[in-house]
Amino acid sequence: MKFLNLIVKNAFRHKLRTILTILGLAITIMAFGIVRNILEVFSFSESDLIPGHLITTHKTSQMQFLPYSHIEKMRQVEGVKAATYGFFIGFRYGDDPEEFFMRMAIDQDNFYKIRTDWEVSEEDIEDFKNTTNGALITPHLKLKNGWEEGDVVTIGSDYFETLSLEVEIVGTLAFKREENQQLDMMFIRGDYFRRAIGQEVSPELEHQVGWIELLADPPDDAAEIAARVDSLFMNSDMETSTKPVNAYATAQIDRFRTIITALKVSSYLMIGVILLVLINTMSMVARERINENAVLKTLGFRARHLITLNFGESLFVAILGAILGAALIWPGIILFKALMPFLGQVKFEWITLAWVGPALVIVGILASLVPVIKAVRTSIVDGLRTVE
Amino acid sequence: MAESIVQTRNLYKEYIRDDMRIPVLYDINLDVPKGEFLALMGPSGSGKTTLLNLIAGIDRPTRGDLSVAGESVAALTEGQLAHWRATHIGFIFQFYNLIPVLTAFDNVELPLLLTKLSGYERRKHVEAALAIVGLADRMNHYPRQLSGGQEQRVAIARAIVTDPSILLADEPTGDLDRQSAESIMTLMSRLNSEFNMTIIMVTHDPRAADAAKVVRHLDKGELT
Repeated sequence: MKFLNLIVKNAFRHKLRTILTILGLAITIMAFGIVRNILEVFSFSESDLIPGHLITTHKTSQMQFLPYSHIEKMRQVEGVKAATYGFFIGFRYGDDPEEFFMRMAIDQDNFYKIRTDWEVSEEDIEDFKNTTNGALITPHLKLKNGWEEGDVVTIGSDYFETLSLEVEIVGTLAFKREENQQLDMMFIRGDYFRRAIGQEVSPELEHQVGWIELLADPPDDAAEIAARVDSLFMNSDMETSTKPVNAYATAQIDRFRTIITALKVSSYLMIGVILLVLINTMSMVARERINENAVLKTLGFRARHLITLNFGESLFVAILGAILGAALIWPGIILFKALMPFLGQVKFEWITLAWVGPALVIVGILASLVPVIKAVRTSIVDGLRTVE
Repeated sequence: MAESIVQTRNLYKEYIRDDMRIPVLYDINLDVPKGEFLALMGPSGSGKTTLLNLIAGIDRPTRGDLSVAGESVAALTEGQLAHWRATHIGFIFQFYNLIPVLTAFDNVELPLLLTKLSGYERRKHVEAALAIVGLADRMNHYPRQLSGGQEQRVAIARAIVTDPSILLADEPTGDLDRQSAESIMTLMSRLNSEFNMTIIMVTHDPRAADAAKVVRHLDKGELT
């Protein structure tokens, strides 16, 4: 602590240079924080999953539909406690390319038996069941668009471009998982959607679904029950692929694997950039203070004192950059979300700071190595001869 | 005869530059009694600063014996030597070498940061040292706010604040105008006469050397 005064004053010896260094560190840390928070969106833990939750898609491609009749057959399979289905409708909303939210059709009579990770009041479930063109929306979408229950909204589909549906908002559907609470989504009744595409696109579509969700009981036998389900449709033209949701989610995330890897590599490179910025500053410090370090040594300062001074200065600048950078992460995420709303669920994760803290200490140590080695190795006589 | 605070016997120093051996000091035998004010004079390259550096423990002799303040300096490790310098040596540089971002007070306090003195005790020592050099009213000034003579006074305060056994000065007036130089020499004479401080000063300024009690000359590495 006795050296704190000297450390702080040394750090601001060249104010402009130090401020630019701190700003450089802060911006890089902000970028690092945003990237790490985006990566958090792609992560999930076992605790987020519903025990025994299975997803069935067409074996050939997830884009192909399954017969509606499969659902009832699956309900008869031993170990299948409940079955429901879903349909992906689209993202785009209106003519504005910036305006979009995810829309799905769900089985109004059964979804809540499986999707216990969603929160819908019993009253809203009843309204959903009793309103032919009823729709549930997430609280975030409700807030964003200022929609109220009873409002009628016209939606389209990305796949069936001629389709136009009028839906009435009857309630809210919230995600229990905190990371998903910022999502903008709408859920309409599956039977209403199937009937509409059957009438407007192709009659056979009325009898098809996008995917089927099952609840295996007991959950520990999920894999065995999934195999039993798939064997039921083996060698038919509508073979199925049933997987536990974690395997399904992993497969979905694998589709983004290259992007995730690129983001991870970018985040590590940012640590490298932070290191280079600080090393550059500390190298200049090392050059400028050769004479001064020799004077301090003449006064009796030992290697450990010079290490304290140089490491302290490096860490001090790094900490200032980290504090400013960490403070900018949240506003940065807000800006980021405003520019790219499709990643609306990105939010500030405290875990990011757990990355920034140790990384900065390591960077501080590494960046101080150059001046420390220079200070300790240069003899007093050579140091005193150096003209600054 | 007073006890010797500096004693050298056959002190020899050479530097190696690009595989060439360059002798700088030849068999220096010197005794400096406690309370002495010695001026080492000589032309550039005569080895006077090298001799001062050896006595200060900031350089090591190639061979020969060197005892300062009762310690065989050459036998000490780097760490021991640093501690020994902090305790026994006060060093005054030609170009003051103050830390520009620290006030006069903070500069003088620097050597005391290596001691176990409390903040209050350090303050008392610093105030006393600055009062001795006549800068009690400038303790919150930065070096850039002081004249050359005042900067050198702060440097002297920094050198004496730990009450060292010996004060070493390398061309202390070399960067000063005549008036400031005289003022600095008056101060150093006072430190020697009033506080019985042993001073060894390197200079090539005869007027500065006049303040010393004893003048020795070095020429081509030999004491004459």
